[in-house]
Amino acid sequence: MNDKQTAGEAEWAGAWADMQRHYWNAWSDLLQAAPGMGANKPSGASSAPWGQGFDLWSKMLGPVMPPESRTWMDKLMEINKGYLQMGEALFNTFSTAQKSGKDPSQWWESINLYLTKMQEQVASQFRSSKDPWAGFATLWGLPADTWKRLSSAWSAMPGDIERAFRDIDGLHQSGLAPLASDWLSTPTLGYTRESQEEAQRLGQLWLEYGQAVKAYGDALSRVITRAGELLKEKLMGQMNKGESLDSLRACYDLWVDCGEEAYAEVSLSDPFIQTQARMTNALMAVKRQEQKIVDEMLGALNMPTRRELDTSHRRLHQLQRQVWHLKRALEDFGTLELREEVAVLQRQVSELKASGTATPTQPTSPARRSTKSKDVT
Amino acid sequence: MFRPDHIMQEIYDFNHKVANGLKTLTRVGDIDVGASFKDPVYQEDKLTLYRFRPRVAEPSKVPVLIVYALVNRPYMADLQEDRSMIRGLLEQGLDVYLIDWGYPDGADRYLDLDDYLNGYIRRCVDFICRQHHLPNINLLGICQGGTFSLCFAAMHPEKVSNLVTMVTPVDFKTPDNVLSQWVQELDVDLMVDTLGNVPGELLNWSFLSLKPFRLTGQKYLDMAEMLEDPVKLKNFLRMEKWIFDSPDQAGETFRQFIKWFYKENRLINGNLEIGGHPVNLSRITMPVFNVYATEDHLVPPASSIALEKYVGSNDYTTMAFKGGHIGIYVSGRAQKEIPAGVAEWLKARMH
Repeated sequence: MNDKQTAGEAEWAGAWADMQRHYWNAWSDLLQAAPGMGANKPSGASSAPWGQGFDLWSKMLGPVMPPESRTWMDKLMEINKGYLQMGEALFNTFSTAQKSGKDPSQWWESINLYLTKMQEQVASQFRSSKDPWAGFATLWGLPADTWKRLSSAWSAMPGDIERAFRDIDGLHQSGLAPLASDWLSTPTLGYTRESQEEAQRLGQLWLEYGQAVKAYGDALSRVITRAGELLKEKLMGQMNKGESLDSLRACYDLWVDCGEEAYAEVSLSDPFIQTQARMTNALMAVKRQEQKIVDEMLGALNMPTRRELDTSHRRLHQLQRQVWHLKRALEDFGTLELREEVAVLQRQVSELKASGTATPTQPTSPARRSTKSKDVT
Repeated sequence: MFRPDHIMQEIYDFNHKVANGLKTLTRVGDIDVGASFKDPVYQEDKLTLYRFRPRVAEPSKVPVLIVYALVNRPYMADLQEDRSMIRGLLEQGLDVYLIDWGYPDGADRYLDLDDYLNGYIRRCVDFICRQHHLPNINLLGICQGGTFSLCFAAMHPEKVSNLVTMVTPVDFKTPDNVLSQWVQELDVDLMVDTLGNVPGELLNWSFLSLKPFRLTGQKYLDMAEMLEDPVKLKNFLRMEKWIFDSPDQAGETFRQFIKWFYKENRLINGNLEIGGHPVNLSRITMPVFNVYATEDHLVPPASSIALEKYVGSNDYTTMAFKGGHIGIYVSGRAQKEIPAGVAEWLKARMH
């Protein structure tokens, strides 16, 4: 390491520390505005990496923030954290490359290494986690989150059903799904055989849903892989033309472009369309079965069931529709009657005119009122 | 190639903006939408028919009824003072009515297309005709509301004097229609039988999944960049409110719309029948003004442009707007081009 490099690194390290200080100062200013928050500054915060910094902010602000805002804040933080992690990784990548000199191929190697690492990280998170959405958290935060909430909401069963059934989903990873499927196919016996059968059916449907989610996750991981390839291609293309990215934001935007391009390629393919539909259909089948089981339980407790409510709604709607039709028929009938009356009158007037015996027309009501008012004056 | 110290500076700036911007967020207050004064003039179930207060002394004699989609809320057309298509139409001298469909709940799950088109829309049109002593009025349909307007005009041509459609899907099976391709394998019967009404969140998931990197990541970084500017932030939050303000869809209507339009493309295949009324686009003989967005990812231009082939009107005009499905209402250029374009076309046909 020569003196120049050492000096450069020291400069960066100083700048880094300086920036951390500014960064915390800004947040401290904000926190001081909140009563009683000054003491909550985490110790050792100044050494926290950038990405983790957002977590700390969120924790510090938590106590003074109403729960509804906290959810919103967490969402913002999660997305921004992904951006900062990219910055952090690029910082490390470029610092390493800088150490190796200014040979463009060295730069490229470092970037290439970073991208490959990122792709592997997503893939390994996906492979090793029970959470089928692992690895997409910052890349695909919102649709994955929305889907998770969808799969739990409108569920006849309480709680986060998606999370509760992750152990069943985990059977796919451990290769035990076929065994579980066999067990869920065994004949049921005795007084409760019907309800056992329904419960087994629910288990089978969950297995199918788990498989479908996994297949969808696989498809998404192909998008990430392809996006990484495109990013490499584009960066290489820029380097060959003697161009370069001039900011972290430009790098992020390029990544987004590549992601969308990769997604557009994949999302219109037949396998993806089938995989996505399979996941949605499988979830609906699970929910349908849940409803059936819950309805049985409610029925046994002499409580109103979903089926009963549906029947009531259907009948109410049929009645409402009959009222609409009757009302319209009445209106149409009234209008028709008036039209016929006008037509008869018009015919009579025409006949009278034609016969030449027409007498002066009786004035209409407004004219009569007008005459009367004249008489008065 | 940018240097590590540049990255640090950028991260610092970004952090600083977010930190300072949170102050703005705490002061931003309620996210108000709807810029123009309006009065409810007719109500039925969840539906409210509004009449906007004119902004000229003598508005046009024949009013315009805006039929919005069931998906999302109609205030997109009147988001804020400087981003309001409706305000623009009022300033152009039009007399504007709007159907607000409200938020269907479980008791509305059996409402079907016949109820919406031959029921609600027809009664709104009849109401306005009676109020103005007119045999027919102008109809302006937006997105799915445009498809509804086309169906209505085809079933009841005597009630529509001029028809304006905006970002309206007509051919539901163009190769670039991602949503259409996605729903082909969907078991919509199972979905509706299971869920009853189809949750707005499920639709949101589909829409966000069309461009996930942009709509779930990049967009929020853009927001972080504007946190320090209260005006820009509020504009962003209004849009955000609109995007996620998604009513549930009445189950039977959703089932019919997906099957008949997206899966079977009946509107252009000529085999669509709603409530016993055949829907034949060749019966649309009144003047038609079809506005589409060239970069629309929800309703591809080809899907809208197809209308020309099927309508029976001899007076058919298209207007291409350079922008997307949302930009056509809220972009700065849209404020100048869309209301003026629509009003000019309508006025030329109202004399």
